[in-house]
Amino acid sequence: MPESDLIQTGVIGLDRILGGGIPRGNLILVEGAAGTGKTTFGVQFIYRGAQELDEPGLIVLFEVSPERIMREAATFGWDLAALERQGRIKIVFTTRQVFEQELRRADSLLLDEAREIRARRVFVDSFAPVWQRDANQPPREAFHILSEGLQRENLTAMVALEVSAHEEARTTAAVPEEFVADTIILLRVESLERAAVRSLEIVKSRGQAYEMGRHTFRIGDGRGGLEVYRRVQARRNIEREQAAAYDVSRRLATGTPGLDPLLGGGMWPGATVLTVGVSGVGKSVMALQYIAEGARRGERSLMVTLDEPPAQVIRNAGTIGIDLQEFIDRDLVQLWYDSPQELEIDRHFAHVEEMVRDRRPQRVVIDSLSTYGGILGLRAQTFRDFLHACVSLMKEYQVTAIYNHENPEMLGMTSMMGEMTVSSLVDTIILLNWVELGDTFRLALTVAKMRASPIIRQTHECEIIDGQGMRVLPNALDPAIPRLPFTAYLGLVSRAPERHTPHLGAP
Amino acid sequence: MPEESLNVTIGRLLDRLAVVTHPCHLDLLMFFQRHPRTLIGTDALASYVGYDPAEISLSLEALVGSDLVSRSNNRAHSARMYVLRLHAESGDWLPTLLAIASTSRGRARVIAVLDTRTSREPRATESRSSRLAHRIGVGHA
Repeated sequence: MPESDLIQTGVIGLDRILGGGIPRGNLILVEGAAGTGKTTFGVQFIYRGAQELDEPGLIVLFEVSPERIMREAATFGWDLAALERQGRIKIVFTTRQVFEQELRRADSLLLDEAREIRARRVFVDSFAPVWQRDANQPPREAFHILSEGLQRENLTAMVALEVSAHEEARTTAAVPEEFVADTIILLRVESLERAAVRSLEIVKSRGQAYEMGRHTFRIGDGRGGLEVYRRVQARRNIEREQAAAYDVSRRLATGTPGLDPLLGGGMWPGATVLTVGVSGVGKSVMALQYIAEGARRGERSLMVTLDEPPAQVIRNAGTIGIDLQEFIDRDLVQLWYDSPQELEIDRHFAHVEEMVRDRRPQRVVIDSLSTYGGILGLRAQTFRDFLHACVSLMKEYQVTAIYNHENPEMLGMTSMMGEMTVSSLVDTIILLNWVELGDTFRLALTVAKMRASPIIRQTHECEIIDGQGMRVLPNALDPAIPRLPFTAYLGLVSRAPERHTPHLGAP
Repeated sequence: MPEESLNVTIGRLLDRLAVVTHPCHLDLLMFFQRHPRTLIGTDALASYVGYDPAEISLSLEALVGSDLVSRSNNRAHSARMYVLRLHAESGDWLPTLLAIASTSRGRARVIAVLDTRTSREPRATESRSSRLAHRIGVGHA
């Protein structure tokens, strides 16, 4: 459908879900219980139309006074009074009865008002719920009259309709307007434990394709009014094959001395890399070195951190000799902290997507996957869908992404990724482990998986030195150090290290 | 503002807005300030403002006649469009009066001043009562 045939809602994020907007002339029903955001949605539809799209609009109110609407709009930075003075909007207060009577008349005063400002949009707030209607007035007929009256004037109308907050009541009660309306958008406030999450669902929209399901939205989140975040589970509109057009001539250096040779020269562009290990084993150190290495090469990075706020990450980087602040100041590194408390995953992902799309980093670190698992449930479909979406996004932009994942096992590793059942998505797995030899815990690293590159799954010793960071030690240790190299042992990761017999283990 | 001084201010404003002689005038103007463009029938307006429809009709005539409120010319419709006219001719007097009346105490003061004036002008009261009686179809002593 040509874009000119679509009317933009003016709600950030929603037009994308609708494939650009809603077909002009559609009668749009915005349903929701009290407090779900119907009025704000409708006022935003009129305001953005008049202010940004040169489409004047009429607001018809039955219950709320124009004064209150203007006051609420002002909290989002929308100056309705100025638009009214400029003749770009009109706000009319009336009663439902008068409204319905007026729409039956060819010489409707209400439509005269719309005509005067050459209105293209109208918002009606609001139709009464089914249980409050006049029994003598068949609602379907009244709504059909409304539809005819508004379409006669070439107006795209949005009508707010109060529905029950109880989902069961909604699905069983007949809402006659739904049969007449062309587009139905349902707003909900859902309880999640003790939190409340807003969601928006396009129930139907004649004449267009749209993305189904419940998308998260917020009101007044900095940019004014409603902002919709596409459901993270929704498929991305890219061909997987097209996204997988990899550059095989290039590898990305990890920044951890000794690691690149174990990876066949470095990480593939667009690879999904999982670093697995117990808490405190050095996953974040390795990630910081990866980012710093990129910055030294002039490559942009993004680090998404749920576990530690930026100031702490910067401090930590400083202890291993990385001046992260300098890279941030030079726009080579972006640190984004989102508190895991009551995290809205659709909104979170939308922000990650925006940063990747706008800044085009070549390297991304997600720290950590286990925190997402803690919020969403490691076995939950939402978690797997989120990871799918992340992997798909990074591959689309050919970003090499490291996902840190905390394995709960202090020693050894009976399962590489615990309960997480997403290993098929991952291209490279690096295991970090403590191994207990004598009275010492020593740090072990194994490249357990690497797609498109032959690897030797040998366990190597690592060390983290204050002020210098992590490095993978060579197999042959300095003879001055009185300890055996890892090559002198069997079964390091399986919790049962044994010394080689001398004839097998001699270097 | 001290009470005495407030009464004087209200009195001056009412001198300028000579049409406002009854609490119903004031309450209608306040309603139209909150709803500057209203498509409504007299009965519904009476319910919102809290006076009987005949009183509302009378007050509307006065406000429309003095050009403080405009009314659409569509007698065939059950409702008419009313628009509050805060134009230059009325200066700041009307907004100032409505600002004073926007609080419960302020409204009570304006009504008290109106009552004082009405009691000083028995002829005006009598005339209004006669018109109202005529509207609602009862005899007036």
